[in-house]
Amino acid sequence: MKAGIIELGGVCLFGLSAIVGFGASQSRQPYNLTEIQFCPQSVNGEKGQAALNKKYCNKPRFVLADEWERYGSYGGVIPYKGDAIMKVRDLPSDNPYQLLGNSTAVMSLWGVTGCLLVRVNRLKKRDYLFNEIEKTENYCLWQEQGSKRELKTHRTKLRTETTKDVESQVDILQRQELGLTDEENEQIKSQLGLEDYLKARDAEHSGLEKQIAENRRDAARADKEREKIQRKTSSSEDSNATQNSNEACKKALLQQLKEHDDGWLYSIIKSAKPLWLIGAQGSGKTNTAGAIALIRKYCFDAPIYQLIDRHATGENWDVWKLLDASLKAESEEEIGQALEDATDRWLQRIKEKPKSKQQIIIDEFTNLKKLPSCKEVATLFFSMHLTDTRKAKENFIGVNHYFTNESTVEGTFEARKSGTIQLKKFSADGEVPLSRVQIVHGLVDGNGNELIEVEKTLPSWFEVNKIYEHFNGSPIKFEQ
Amino acid sequence: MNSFFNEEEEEEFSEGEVIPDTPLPQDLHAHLEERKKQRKKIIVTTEKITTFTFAWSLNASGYLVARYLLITGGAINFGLAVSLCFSISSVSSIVGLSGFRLGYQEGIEVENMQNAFRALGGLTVSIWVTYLAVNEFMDVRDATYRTAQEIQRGIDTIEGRHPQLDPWLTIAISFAIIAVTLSLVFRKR
Repeated sequence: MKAGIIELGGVCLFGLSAIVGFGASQSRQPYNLTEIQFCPQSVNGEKGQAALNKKYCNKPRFVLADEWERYGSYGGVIPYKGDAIMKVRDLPSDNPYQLLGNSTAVMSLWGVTGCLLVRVNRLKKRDYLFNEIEKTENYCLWQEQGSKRELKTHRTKLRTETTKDVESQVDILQRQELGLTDEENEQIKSQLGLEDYLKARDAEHSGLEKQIAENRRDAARADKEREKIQRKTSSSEDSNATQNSNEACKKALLQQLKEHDDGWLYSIIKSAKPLWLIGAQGSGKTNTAGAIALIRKYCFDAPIYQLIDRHATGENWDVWKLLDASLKAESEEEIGQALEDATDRWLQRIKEKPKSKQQIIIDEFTNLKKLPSCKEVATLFFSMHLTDTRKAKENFIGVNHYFTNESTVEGTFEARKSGTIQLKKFSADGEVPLSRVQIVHGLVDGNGNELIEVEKTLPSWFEVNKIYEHFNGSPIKFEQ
Repeated sequence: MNSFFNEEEEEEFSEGEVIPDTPLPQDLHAHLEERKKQRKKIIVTTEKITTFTFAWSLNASGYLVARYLLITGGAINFGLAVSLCFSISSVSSIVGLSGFRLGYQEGIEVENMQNAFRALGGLTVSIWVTYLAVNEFMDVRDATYRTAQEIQRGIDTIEGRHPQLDPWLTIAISFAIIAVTLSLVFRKR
């Protein structure tokens, strides 16, 4: 701003100076003149001389001073006639400062040009800055005014609501006076209104909860992606060593699984079919489910995404805590929502064709089905898991006491038989789990024959704690 | 002088990667665009004024040089004053000619013809400025010449020299000689 004033001030000042200069340079007689006299001498006496003087000498004659200075010299325009032509007087210019005035005017004009040049360059250079300043200032102004508008709208809205309430109340009173309504009727109306409001609020809340769950899922995915990237980009020797060590652990474990009892356990772990573990209490179903989930996590990059168990943080916590599931559903409300979310998620993942796997574990499905708020959604969940989990690349592990129509969903016998792997576990006295297991159905041997009620064994090290330790610093010492 | 917002510069900018700016409301965006145009207009106008004052500074400089030479040197510097004044005054016109191109390729091709017209106008102004600078001197010099001629005529009159009568006198004498000769030849004896 200051620079602008200086520039414009300079222009005005120099402009004024130029005008004054030009004014001062004006002159009626800019060049020095000399008055001369031509007085020829007569040879005819005084009479003749008087005649000559009358004709020539008394006439005033003006010539350029520099021409007079060259009188009698080479190149002079005044004809030389000796003393007959003589200087009468010098007539200097009437304005001795005309050159000074002219110089001032010219310098001032250059000053004006200089000021304008400086101004143009400054405007060019600062044009972007001016634009940005205006943008910022006006944007702030817009925000401020927008807030004021919002506030005013809100006030008006509140005032309208208040007026509406007051007028409604007056109307009710008038109606009551006229006998068109009574207190009881109005109470019923307000009760109905309140119910509608609460339902609408619930619906709104459930939408928000869904949003929260989806956000958590996205956050878990992002964490997973970050871990992956970190793993990939890590170039330090330590991380390489850890990675190598993990790779070695993974290889050793998978080798053991492949070698154990014709590799049936390896086939089950690798299979994309939903796996159901059934058995009496104390047969170690949860532990085996946890062990399988951990191997899938560490060896096949399938993190545990969702865990549905009524006792997730209770008696089963020792096992589930090692799985580090992204989402846990424990309360009745959470379980209902989780089952619904799972079916939606499978559909979504099938559409997206994901490349990465993840896992879902559900415990005590029979009991969940019996919960009144989960009954319908559990039926849908069970029917969907038979087909959708494999397509959605979501490994499913279910834990149940038995696997009958009553405990699952009626009319799904054939689908259960062909679409799931059922593994039965046993306990010695209802407390100590046995290594004996039975493949009830769902698995085929190397020749493609289905294994039905085939007895197998679990390796002695197949426990969730040992497998967790195996991948976290204390590798299992396998028997050679 | 080149214009501030020329097309070449705009093309160069458009080739680069464009990063999105803060999203602005439509009316604010329109307002800023309007302000941008105004600023551009101010710059262009100031630039035109600068070009104008630059040209007139040169004209005034030429005028000053001519006047200085004539006042200090008189008629001796007359030619130098005229040529210097015109040269200095016409600098801006010649600079303004840049961009004008005349060529022949499948017919006459002319580019930026307006520059040529502008330069022509500038040269006319230069001639006018030169005339203004030397006009008064020419008047005084002519008056000096006239005075000198008057004096010369006076001298001729006094000394009886009538050079303007010389051809007629020669013719008359010739005729007289011829007439005398003829009369002598044909005289009756």
